[in-house]
Amino acid sequence: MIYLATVVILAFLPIFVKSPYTYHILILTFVYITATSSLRTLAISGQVSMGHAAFMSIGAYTSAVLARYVGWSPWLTMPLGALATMLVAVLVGFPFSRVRTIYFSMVSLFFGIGILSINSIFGKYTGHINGMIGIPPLFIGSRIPYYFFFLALMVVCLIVLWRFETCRIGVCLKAIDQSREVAASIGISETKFRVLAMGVSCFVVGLVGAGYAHYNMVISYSSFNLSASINMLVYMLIGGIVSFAGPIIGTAVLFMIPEIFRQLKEYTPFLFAGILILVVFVMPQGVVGLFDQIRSLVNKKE
Amino acid sequence: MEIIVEIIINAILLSSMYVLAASGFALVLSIMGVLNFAHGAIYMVGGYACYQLAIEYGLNPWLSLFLAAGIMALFGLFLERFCFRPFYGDFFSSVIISIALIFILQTSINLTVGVHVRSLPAFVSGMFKVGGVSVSMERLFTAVIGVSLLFALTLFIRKSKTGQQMLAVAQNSEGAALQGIRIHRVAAIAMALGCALAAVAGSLMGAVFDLNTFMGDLILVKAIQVVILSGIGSIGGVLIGGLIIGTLDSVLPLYTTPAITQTIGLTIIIVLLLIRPQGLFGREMD
Amino acid sequence: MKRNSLFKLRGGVSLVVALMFFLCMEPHATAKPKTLRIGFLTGLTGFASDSERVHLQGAELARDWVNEKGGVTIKGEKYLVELVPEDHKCTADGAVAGATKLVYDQKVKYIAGTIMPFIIAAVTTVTEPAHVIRSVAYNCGTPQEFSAKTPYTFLSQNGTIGAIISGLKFLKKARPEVKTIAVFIPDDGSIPYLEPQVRKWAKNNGMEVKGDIVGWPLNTVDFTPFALKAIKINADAVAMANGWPAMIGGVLKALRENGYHKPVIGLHYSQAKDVMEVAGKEASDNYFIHGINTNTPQKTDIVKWILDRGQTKYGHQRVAFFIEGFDSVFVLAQAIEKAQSLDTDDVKNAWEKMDDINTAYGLAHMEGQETYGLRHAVVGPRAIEGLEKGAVKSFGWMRDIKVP
Repeated sequence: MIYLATVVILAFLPIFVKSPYTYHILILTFVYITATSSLRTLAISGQVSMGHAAFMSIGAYTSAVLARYVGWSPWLTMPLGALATMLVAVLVGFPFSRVRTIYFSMVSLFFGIGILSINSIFGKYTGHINGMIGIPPLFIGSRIPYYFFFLALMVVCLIVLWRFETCRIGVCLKAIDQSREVAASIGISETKFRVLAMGVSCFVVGLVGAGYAHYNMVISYSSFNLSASINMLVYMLIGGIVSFAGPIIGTAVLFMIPEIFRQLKEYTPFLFAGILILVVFVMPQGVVGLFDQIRSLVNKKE
Repeated sequence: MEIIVEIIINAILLSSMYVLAASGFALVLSIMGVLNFAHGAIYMVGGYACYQLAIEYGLNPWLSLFLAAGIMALFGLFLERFCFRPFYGDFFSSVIISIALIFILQTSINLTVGVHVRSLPAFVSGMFKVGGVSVSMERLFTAVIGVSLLFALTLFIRKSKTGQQMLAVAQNSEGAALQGIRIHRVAAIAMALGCALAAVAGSLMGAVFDLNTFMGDLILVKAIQVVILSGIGSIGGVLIGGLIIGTLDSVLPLYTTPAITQTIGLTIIIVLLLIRPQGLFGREMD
Repeated sequence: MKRNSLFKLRGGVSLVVALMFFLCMEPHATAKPKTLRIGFLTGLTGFASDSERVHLQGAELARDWVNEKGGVTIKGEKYLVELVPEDHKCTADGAVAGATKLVYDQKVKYIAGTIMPFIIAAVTTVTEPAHVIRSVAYNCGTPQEFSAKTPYTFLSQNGTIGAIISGLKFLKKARPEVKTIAVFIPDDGSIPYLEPQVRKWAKNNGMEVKGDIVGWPLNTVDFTPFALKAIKINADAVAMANGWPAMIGGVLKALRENGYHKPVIGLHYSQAKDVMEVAGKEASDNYFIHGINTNTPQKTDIVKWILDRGQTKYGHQRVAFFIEGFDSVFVLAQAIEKAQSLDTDDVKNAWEKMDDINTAYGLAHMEGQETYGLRHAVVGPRAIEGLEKGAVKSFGWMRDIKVP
């Protein structure tokens, strides 16, 4: 219910808000909410990836290169970018999914760094660290069409991820995470479901990465490096990994607050660190947990 | 012929420096189970602390090194008590705290002294000539100290009482607690040692290379590579992990482009981890 | 019942946060009368921020210099320069956000600053469609930064290509015996664009680039393998294009430690003193770089003033970086005054047609039609300094530098 209200408010925002800067921040927030939520889809199956931004980069660069050098329309190359990401995810998913949580995190960390090195081998097309320019945009001119595009994309992807999580497959994944032995005894093939989670999660993040490339019209490593992956992880953890709304709230808080307080200039990292420390000490289940804590306080009074 | 000898020597020297940088990280990860992302930042602060003492206060370089290590060890005690102890057992909360720590340390140093280009003066200078090949004394010393400290650490863990307690906590913390070992005291010592090692690494390598506010970022990635490759739970194994990564980093750039160098290096690590997730010498974790 | 109150609570909090957000975000540009607002985009946080913040200090010095001399006069009215700094966090995302804020929120029409190719490219996507003039503080020679497709972007520095031209000419003059050069360039995507330039200008000066370009990644910890690679090439000299002082010093140190004692020249701008700090006194010999120190002869008044004011106000004298920030604002102010208009199209047209323009280093000219596709590059004289037996030495000035 609350989701519907938020979406409605967001959809009617253009009537009140005129600043392109606000739209820019909101668009990026939508992008990262989608990406972080897909990270959670992986996480609930016991695979906490520290290299998720790398998959976003696969979608972004594939779509950008196809659109710019081959000349296809971005509307075609974006899904292709997502498919490419999913393909890579499934390919590496098979070996990666066999290793347990902490080891998966380590392997994904190195994969995240490694993907950019592979990207550099094609530096002639991808522009290497200096970045790739001239990416064909989705819409010409104002940001408003982009705003609605990303709003719609985020909503659709979130619905997909939600359904994946609540349907039979998602429930099975959670079961695997809880106890491998029990899950195996029921006949759930652990690897198969984990790879499936990789596929869905990475398709979404690849798609949103491709969209991002065509919005920004320039992409570079700084958006997809280890820092970016760790940021996504932090957004998810701060928001609260237990609930679906966790990544959404976490991203919104950690991404938007430093932007709102840009006037802090060089002291901004202190603000960011402060939020992290506050949440970790005061809200053990993340920001989402805060609501639950308030609820139990309210309940006690009743 | 001569260049091969140079390459081998350089590989060994660089590997030893990686070992020095990674030892503290390995210790904290193995004993406390904490992936301390702030290790690189602590390395950096240790280097700057040594610079402050040696240059601004004019103390003897070796004394400054010792003091810097001491200061960071105290800082480590503070960290363990207030930042990591409240989250004992909660892996991801510790990760978040360490990330917050990076921002705080880096920004503080950046805003105070970051603007100046700095390097620590060499602790020992000159070149050491052997058989037609000359090696920088500075690097040689750093390498020797790095490997010696690792050996000292492994000896400490195997022979001393505290070291044995650390092993016990690392293997089974509940069992260790039941035996009367005070886990938090052990963790505090591990953290203090880890930070001291990071400070020594930062100071020595700050003289060989340079000091800058973000030098910890590069070192952190190397340390993670070395430690994960060697295996969580293994301290002595860091020597081998360091040797592998150091050799790759010194030899490959000579023969191929940087992009391929990094790709090969990371592919090797990933494949090794997939075959043997606990690393070369790590213990199985549940 | 309980769920309802929970939802209401969540909804209420979210709405309050959202409201706060939008109230803070709506544009609140305050245009004081008779100020010329120039945006300055630089890395206040992020991996290069220790050097980038010096650019902002340089820009502040430029503002002080211009304002202390009465500001910018347009059609008889005096305008004082006001800097509007923004942080690009050394990431492309941050650059786009910072530029968007400057252009749409703060409503500035001119942005100075920024140096790294991917940052400049990212900002261009925001400023070009909005016809915002950019006075870029450096240029690494890649088309992302600056080309015929970016008509509102101007280069306020000689940049890497300028350094290649002046540096190689100087090398031939100072070390006539050099016939072959090995070249270091960071492997960040600029090699395909810089390699032809280095080869061309070496040839122009009777030298030859030997072997392949030695490319090194920006996250290098140890430069020894790259130094060994260069030594294997066995050239009469080594040249380095691009890189921050720590890396420059690292390369020099590695070369010298491994037995290479021939001339090394930096085809970029920094402080020889800083390079020596990193490389160590023993390696500091037979080395040249574009830079200024307190002993450089024929310093311009502006440089003297910057050295002085920089020391008192900021406590250091990283002149090369000060000037990168300084000139990006200074030349922009002159162009605006020349145009006698605040309209960006007027300024663009006036700037393109200017011949002479003043910079901190001295009188410069607008050039670069052939190299960049636009006559938008400010090219001026540069001082050369170097390291000789562990001491900083000045080698005079390169004047008449021309970037075709």
